[in-house]
Amino acid sequence: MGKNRILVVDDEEIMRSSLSDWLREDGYDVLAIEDGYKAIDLVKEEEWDLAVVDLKMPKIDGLEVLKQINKIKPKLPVIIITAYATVDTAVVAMKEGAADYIVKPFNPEEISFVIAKLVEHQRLVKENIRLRRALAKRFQFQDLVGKSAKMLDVIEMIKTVATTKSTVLIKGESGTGKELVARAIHELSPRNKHPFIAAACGAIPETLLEAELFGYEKGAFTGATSQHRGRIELADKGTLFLDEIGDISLKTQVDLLRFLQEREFRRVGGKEILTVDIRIIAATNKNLEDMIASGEFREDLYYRLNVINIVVPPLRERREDIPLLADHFLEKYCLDTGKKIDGISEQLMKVIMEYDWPGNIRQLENTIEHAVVVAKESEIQKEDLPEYLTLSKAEVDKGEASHSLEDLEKKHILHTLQTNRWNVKKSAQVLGINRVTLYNKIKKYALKQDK
Amino acid sequence: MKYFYVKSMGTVDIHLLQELCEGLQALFPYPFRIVQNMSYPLYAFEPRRSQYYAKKIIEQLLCEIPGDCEKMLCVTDVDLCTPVLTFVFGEAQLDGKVAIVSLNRLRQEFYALPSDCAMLKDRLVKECIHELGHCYGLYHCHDSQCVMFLSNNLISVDNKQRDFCDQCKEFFRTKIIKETHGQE
Ligand SMILES: Nc1ncnc2c1ncn2[C@@H]1O[C@H](COP(=O)(O)OP(=O)(O)OP(=O)(O)O)[C@@H](O)[C@H]1O
Ligand SMILES: [Mg+2]
Ligand SMILES: [Zn+2]
Ligand SMILES: [Zn+2]
Repeated sequence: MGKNRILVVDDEEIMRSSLSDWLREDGYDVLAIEDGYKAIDLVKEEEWDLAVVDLKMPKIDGLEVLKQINKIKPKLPVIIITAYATVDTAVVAMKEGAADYIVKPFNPEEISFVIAKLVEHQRLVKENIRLRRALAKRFQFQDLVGKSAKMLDVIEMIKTVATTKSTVLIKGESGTGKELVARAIHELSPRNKHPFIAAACGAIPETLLEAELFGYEKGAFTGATSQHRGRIELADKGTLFLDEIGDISLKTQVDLLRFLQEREFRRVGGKEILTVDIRIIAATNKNLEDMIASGEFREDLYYRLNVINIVVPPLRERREDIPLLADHFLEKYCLDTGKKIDGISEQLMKVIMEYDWPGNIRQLENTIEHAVVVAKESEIQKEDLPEYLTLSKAEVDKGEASHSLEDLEKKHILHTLQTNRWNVKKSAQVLGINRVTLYNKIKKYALKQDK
Repeated sequence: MKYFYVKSMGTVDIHLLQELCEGLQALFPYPFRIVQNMSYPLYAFEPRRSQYYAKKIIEQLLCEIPGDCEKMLCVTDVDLCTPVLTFVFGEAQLDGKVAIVSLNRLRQEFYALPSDCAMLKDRLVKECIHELGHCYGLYHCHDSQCVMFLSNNLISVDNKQRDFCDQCKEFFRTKIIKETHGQE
């Protein structure tokens, strides 16, 4: 265990040396400085367990240093020390969040006790962070974080179907984690040494999808300059993940159906009949039953795919997973950005617990990423959230007479598009939805770019 | 040849100093030299507090340190303090040459109790070992039985042993071996 670090700020050299000598004998790692501004910088840049700050200093007084430290590291205890004690300053110091207020010279018993208590408390706070992270790991299955009953049901299903070869259809709103579920099934299956190949059916243009899935022979069409193996072939012995299956054309639906029935196929422009051993998992955020009713999706294909059905619940139906997920993403983006942030403020937690998350976990993930990037303190704060999340209902209502969720969504999407100069990819990222969903929303609300 | 200097300052009974040396001998394998000095360290006096700054005395002693001195331990009857603490039983240079211990608050009389020579001697030996421990680079120990435990009151002084705990002893041994090798 490393030494606990104490930052001493006092303008008098004799106080600094005397206090730091004494603290060093007690086994602390001490840095004593005279400048309060420097102290604030040091609190920003380094890890401390305790700060001891003199009240009366010429450049910046101790109460101001205390305030600044509290903003940067609300959990870092600060003891205010002074040779000129008054009840007023003591009251102000405690109000501003000082951990204690002690008059110089100190009674050795008192100061030892106060410091030991605060340092021990800090140790517990850190231990708590560590335990909370370890706990989050415990509630992680493959890459899926969650402990809600609904999520545990999904995990049970994954375990059960992983051992079989049956085709699985995963349903769920955008961003709920359908792809992660598919990957988890593959990882737990006997096929895990073989490839997991994903085909984002919605993102690949219809004309290319067939060639992408089945492959093509040289000369099959203009531009086919050499033989090309399709995703189905690449997935041999492994798993083929057909994402956004609801987006494929009726023509490709027929081809797929044939393949699912025969388990045989030809490359585009090819004669040879090929067979593969693959497990198929499909996913959709559309209501396929409705699409069958309206003739957009083939019923026979649906039954072929829907052998086993896993529904991934939207985030708003498993809010108890939000803190775990938020912690998980916090840690992930701290690693990514090299920032040191130990927690999430209570107010921020309250906001994200109450929000509805139409973009589900992807939106939550983007939100936390955003907060980590802009955070200036050791906890991410409510202020670090994108504005739309913290706009109070009253403020939103003030705007216009329209209150419906759809109106808000429309406005928010338009605003995001405008701020990102109608860059759809970027806007979709910011909104935490995928591009296809964003295109659909643009269509739905007939949003237009003004010149 | 290096000596352990034990120096009195003010009014300190010579027999007490001799007994102290016997008590220290067990832990510090050096020949001891007792130096008596009746004068008070007025340069370190703080009139507003009617106490003496321990650090100032240590600084003065450092100026007078003999060349053959391994460590210098000063025993005084004046009340010691530091700029930040209302009192100290003693003070030492961490990883240095000089340590000082005051008898003042180790005496039963300070707390209006009948005097007790045996207790005083026991407390003095413990606090001297403690401060000398700092001179050898030891920090405070969490073991309340260990002589390096930080004592701010007599209950805790009386409660600890006259000896280092195993961990502190090990640290102390390696330190002495290192230092004697460094000199050769
Ligand atoms: N339970 C979870 N634990 C941790 N991360 C998750 C979880 N669920 C989803 N995520 C993360 O959220 C993001 C979206 O997940 P994923 O791509 O699997 O969603 P999806 O349902 O396939 O969305 P879409 O329908 O928009 O394609 C990913 O970055 C994923 O890592
Ligand atoms: Mg997906
Ligand atoms: Zn000590
Ligand atoms: Zn010890």
